[in-house]
Amino acid sequence: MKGLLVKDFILVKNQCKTLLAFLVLGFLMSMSMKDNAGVVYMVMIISMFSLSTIGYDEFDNGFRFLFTLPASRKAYVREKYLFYIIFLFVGLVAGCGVGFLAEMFKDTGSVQNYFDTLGESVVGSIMIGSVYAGMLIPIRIKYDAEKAKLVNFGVFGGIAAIAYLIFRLKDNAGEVVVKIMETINGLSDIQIASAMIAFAVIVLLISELIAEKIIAKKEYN
Amino acid sequence: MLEVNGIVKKYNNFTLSCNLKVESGRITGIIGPNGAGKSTLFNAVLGLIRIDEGEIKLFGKNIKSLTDSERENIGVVLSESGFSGYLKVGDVGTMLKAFYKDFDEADFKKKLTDFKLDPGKKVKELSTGMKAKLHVIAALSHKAKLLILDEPTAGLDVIAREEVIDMLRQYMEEDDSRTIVISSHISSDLENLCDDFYMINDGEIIIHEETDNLLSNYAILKVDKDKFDELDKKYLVRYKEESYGYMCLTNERQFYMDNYPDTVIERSGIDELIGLMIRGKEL
Repeated sequence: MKGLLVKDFILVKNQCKTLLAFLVLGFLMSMSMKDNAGVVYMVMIISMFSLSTIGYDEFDNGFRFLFTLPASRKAYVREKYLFYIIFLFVGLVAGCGVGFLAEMFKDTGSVQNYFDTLGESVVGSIMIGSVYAGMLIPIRIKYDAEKAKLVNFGVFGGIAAIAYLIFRLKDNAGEVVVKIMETINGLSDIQIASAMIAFAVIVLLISELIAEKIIAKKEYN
Repeated sequence: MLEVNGIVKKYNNFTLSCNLKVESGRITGIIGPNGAGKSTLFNAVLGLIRIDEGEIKLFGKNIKSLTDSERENIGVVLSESGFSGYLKVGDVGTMLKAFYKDFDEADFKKKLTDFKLDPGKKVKELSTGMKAKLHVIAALSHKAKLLILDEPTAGLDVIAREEVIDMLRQYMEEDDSRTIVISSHISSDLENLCDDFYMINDGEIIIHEETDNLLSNYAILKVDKDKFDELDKKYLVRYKEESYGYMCLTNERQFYMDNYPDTVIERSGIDELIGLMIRGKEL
């Protein structure tokens, strides 16, 4: 696992110019957007950046050689999730820092709004990012980059369709959805945040188990 | 050191089916034409593909149960696969240091200098030959007990090939329990290096022979049609029609030298052996 982590840190280090560009873009977005949307953007971009290492591993049939090194396939999968979590925290720190700086430069004269919405931005980006990573990692391990793009498109299209159906159901006074919404509305902020974080953790755990099963069946010719 | 016991790997239009045993302290060559199954055999030995039948043992253990620590004793060079192109040459050393307890950083850096490999260059920017050198250097860098080398000299010029072969010899001299399994389409590289050979064709081992025996006892007989009819064919392995008559492969050179002194008998190199074994007919 140590070797895999070192490899991934080196790969990210070698792409640091791209990462720096994302930071600048995040700063500009934070300057121009309300309610810490720039923070969410930063967290998402930086944490997802960690997963680009799968593409670097795959480059030029690289998986074949990588799996001859002293690291099991299971370790490879686990390392990818660990690396994602590390970068999720890096993204949180960078996002909050850049967001705060941007807020200082704004003409609002106060950073109060930044602190008012920071909590929900952080928890929201952890949940959205983790759900996205939870779907993306198994897909990338199963398919090459090109196929994965198509599968991603299909999966997220499917999710959008389901979300649309749920909202249509709500408009039509679907009792279950209304009850769920009422329950959520009745929860405190801490309870909602805890539930969102727990959901993110569960998604990542299930995703990791699926990715392990996928990689165990893969053949590298 | 390495045992391949009755493995079978089936694809739609190809089946690998073979047995192989590599003793400790030896250099074993795997030869055969393109598409014969050499890389599939390496993939199976390295656990990169699942086998349908049989068992592969490394260091006396089924490869499926090897620990990371035991896998540190294997150094690998693969054809058409290697370190990520997005790593720099110098990064490879940093990475290997994290993977292998016995990684010799000083020696690795020295060899990079010797082979004029720029540590600041990305792997994807290297030529095929330079990549091959990097992979060989990396495989030798952590005192592995077993080297599995699939076409390690591919893309190298004559001088660089000699340097690589010399490195492998030196590597074996440092510890006589070390073992190498190597494939190459350049037979001269192997003739001067290997202790024994397995020849593979259509997924099956068709010859296993000691190099000394191969070079001293195998020979090519060139005969016209009348002479061919007269020949005692019990030691002919393969024959092939030629414009002048027949080219025959024997594994008992002395027998034909003693009994047919006026026959053209030439020593068989690996290339001739492969050529006749694949394209020749069985008697």
